[in-house]
Amino acid sequence: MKNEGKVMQALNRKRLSNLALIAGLLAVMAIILPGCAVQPPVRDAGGVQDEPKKESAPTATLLASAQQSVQAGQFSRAEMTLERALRVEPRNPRLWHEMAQVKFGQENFGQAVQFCLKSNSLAGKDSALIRKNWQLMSRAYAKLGDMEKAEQARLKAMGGN
Amino acid sequence: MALLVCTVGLVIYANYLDKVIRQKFDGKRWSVPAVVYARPLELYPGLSLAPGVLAEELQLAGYRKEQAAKDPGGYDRTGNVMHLVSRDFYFSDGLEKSAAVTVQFAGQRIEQIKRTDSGERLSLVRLDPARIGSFHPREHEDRIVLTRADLPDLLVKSLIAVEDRHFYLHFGVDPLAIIRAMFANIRAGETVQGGSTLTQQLVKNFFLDSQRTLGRKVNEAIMAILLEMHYSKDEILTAYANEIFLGQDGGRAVHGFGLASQFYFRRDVKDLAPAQIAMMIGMIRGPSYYDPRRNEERCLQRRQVVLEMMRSEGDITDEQYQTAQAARLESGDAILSGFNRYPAFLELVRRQLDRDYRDEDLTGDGLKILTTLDPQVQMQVEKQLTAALAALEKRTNRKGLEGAVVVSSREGGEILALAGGRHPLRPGFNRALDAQRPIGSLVKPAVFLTALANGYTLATPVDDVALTLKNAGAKKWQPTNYDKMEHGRVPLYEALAQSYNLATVRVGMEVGVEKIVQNVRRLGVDRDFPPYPSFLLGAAPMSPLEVAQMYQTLAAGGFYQPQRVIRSVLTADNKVIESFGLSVEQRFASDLIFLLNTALKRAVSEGTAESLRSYVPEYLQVAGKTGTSDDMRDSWFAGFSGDKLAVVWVGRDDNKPIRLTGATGAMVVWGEIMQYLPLAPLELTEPAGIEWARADMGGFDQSGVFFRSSELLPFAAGSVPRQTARLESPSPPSQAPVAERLEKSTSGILNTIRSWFH
Repeated sequence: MKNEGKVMQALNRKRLSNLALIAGLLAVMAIILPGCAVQPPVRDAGGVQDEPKKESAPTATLLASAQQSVQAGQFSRAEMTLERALRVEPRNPRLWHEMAQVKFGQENFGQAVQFCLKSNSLAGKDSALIRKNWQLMSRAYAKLGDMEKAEQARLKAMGGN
Repeated sequence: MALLVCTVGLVIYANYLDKVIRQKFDGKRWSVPAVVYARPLELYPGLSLAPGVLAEELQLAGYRKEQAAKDPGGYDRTGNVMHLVSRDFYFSDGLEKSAAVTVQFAGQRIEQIKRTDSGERLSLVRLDPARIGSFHPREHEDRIVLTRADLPDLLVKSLIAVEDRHFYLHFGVDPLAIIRAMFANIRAGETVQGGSTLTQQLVKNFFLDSQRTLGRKVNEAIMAILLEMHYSKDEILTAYANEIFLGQDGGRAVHGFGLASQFYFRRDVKDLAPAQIAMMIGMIRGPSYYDPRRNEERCLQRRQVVLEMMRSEGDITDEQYQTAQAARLESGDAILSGFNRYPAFLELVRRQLDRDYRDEDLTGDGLKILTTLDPQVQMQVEKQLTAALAALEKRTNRKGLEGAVVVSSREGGEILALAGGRHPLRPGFNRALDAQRPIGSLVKPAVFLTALANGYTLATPVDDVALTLKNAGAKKWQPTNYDKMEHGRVPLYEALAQSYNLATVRVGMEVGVEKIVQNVRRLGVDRDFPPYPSFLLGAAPMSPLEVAQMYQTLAAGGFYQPQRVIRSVLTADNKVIESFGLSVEQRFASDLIFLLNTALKRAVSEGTAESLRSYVPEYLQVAGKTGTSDDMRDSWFAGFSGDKLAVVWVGRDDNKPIRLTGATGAMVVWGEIMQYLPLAPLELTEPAGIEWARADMGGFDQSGVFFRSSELLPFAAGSVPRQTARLESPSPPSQAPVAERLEKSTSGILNTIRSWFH
């Protein structure tokens, strides 16, 4: 069968490259190994997700306007503004957090929790935001009467991951 | 006695006609169709948008290209600079006022937006959306209903001067005009002139009957008189202005001045120039005879007659007359064609509305329905689907291919575009919604997701080795791989990326088909599927829309959100009656989805969808899955970038084999569409606790030779297998630039080596 031949070829190639790899490495191993054993490999020194990203100009404008609406208790207006912002920057965790605030204001506590979870799922290493999300979740769970989850969320907000 | 009988008969008959005409008139007057709008375009600096594409959008939204944009609905463009004046529009969050803005482009992006008058910089501008359709009780009609106050003076005056001089004086019929017409007709030996009043014309339009029999005429006359008895002149005039037939746009009849001025001039009736009013008034006598698209000369001559009448009546100045008669007719391609030009999408809108509204609400209350349709995406979907299917037919030398496409926003779940078949304007079977086809390997992510949730890792070795399943009472089932080969022991992620059937069935049987069916439901396809083993290879039929919902949940990181086509519904006077906001529900833990999506990226970077790279650049790192049903009857591809999710199905309506796999059929269509859309790279946010490690996949291959290979893979917290080297600073390698990746692969090798020594 033709196919079988091809597979054998591939396997041979794999074996060859493995052999070459091992041979080459044995040569360099002696030099590098002693120093390397304690050193973690260099990875992504830039750390893209470490710094919380700033909003782009259009989103910042909309976010500010939504926050104003929240302050004024105009939650459905804030919601619509945030949706606009989310269409521009759908993966900005701060917008999702703000949305959770709106849902809390609308007394939709279940959704408030969900939007916090969503925000956390996009927050990366923004630990301040993650804490805020857990705080809000704690309050939302308390409103829902789920004291156990409220307490768990409160502990997470305090830093116990 | 005979006279008495006659009179009584006449009275009864007149009474009957009275009832008929009043019903008609009252029914008509308030019947304003629901109007459907596309999503509004939001302009901001940094947006990927070429000036040509913006011009296309504006054209679709009924904007006019002008020398220098001045009035609302106009735009002009010189190279990289575009001026436009948006129109007032009520959104669910209130009125967005008309704004004159200058947009500066840099290549394919917007660089800067300023107010045209003050030069003030703007960070965001929301344009009024394109009108994409309306729901009218009579299917092939469309209209924009005007009130008496909407009718410009000049239009009313010249309408009366040309069509019915004594309109404000007569009682429905104009005996003098009839006599005059009679003489003229006798002299000419044929009908050259009608003596019908506007009221009579209106009656005639109501009943859509152009027979010119005497009986008809008498009926019309009686009804006209009755109308005048019940309604004021203004009411009759307004009804006339909304009812008059002014042309044909393919299958759609253009009724009324409101729609006609959009159709012919892309303007609101209040913004019309005298020459344009004259053209419309002139066309009343014979909309097809004087059609500017077909009989330019005739149309101009007729317009000239009306313009002269306007001048002699003193309705326009000499100067206006001079300008007007010199004005050229609108070119054919400026004409705004086809309001219901996205029938497949509109059908989805309609179905969602039918759940909440009665038919009368939709066809009579003038509701405004603001939808999620993105015209740019829709245009590409239609264009590329048609072209790609034709190319595939040529390649396979077989006719009869059909296709369906669903595109949505990754995080918002908004349906941006929908194709129900390869002929977008042909209404009919909507395959995106109604074609239920076996989804083949598109089901595998659900299988592997369930496995990951039940103790498997991406590195778990699974056997891609033949097996036979015996169902109680059913035939034996011996699944095979697409290449009819066995691939031995492979890590889980590879079984998914390479879409190995045998491994999938083994994994699926191990975790339990019932659990997988449950997870398909949790992914968003909330139906019952019998938990047969064949479910594991996608024997269950689904519609492209359902598949899109399932992949939506994966693309959105495990958060389910219902697909949305409607953003909000407003009443005729702009009150929000319904708003379909965002809602999310976490259905799967973020780390599970992260692992699965990493494997789905591999399906594109090194698996069955590898050839996608000839369409979509690698740096976008899209994730996706191919699917092929038995005997190659259905070809599927579902995939997502950082911002868009798209599902494509290709097959035949008669369900015959098409000789295309997911990769050679649907994926090609997917690639063709996506390569023309602005796409964001797919970033997967790494949940807390994920550990990266080089899983050591060494083992004996089929020929008994030992080999080793290692792959950097993510693991959920605490699930790193013992025989692997952990990495301490987690971050997926694929998101690093090439130089860094090289460095990593060397350090990776060192890790593997180190793992031997531990």
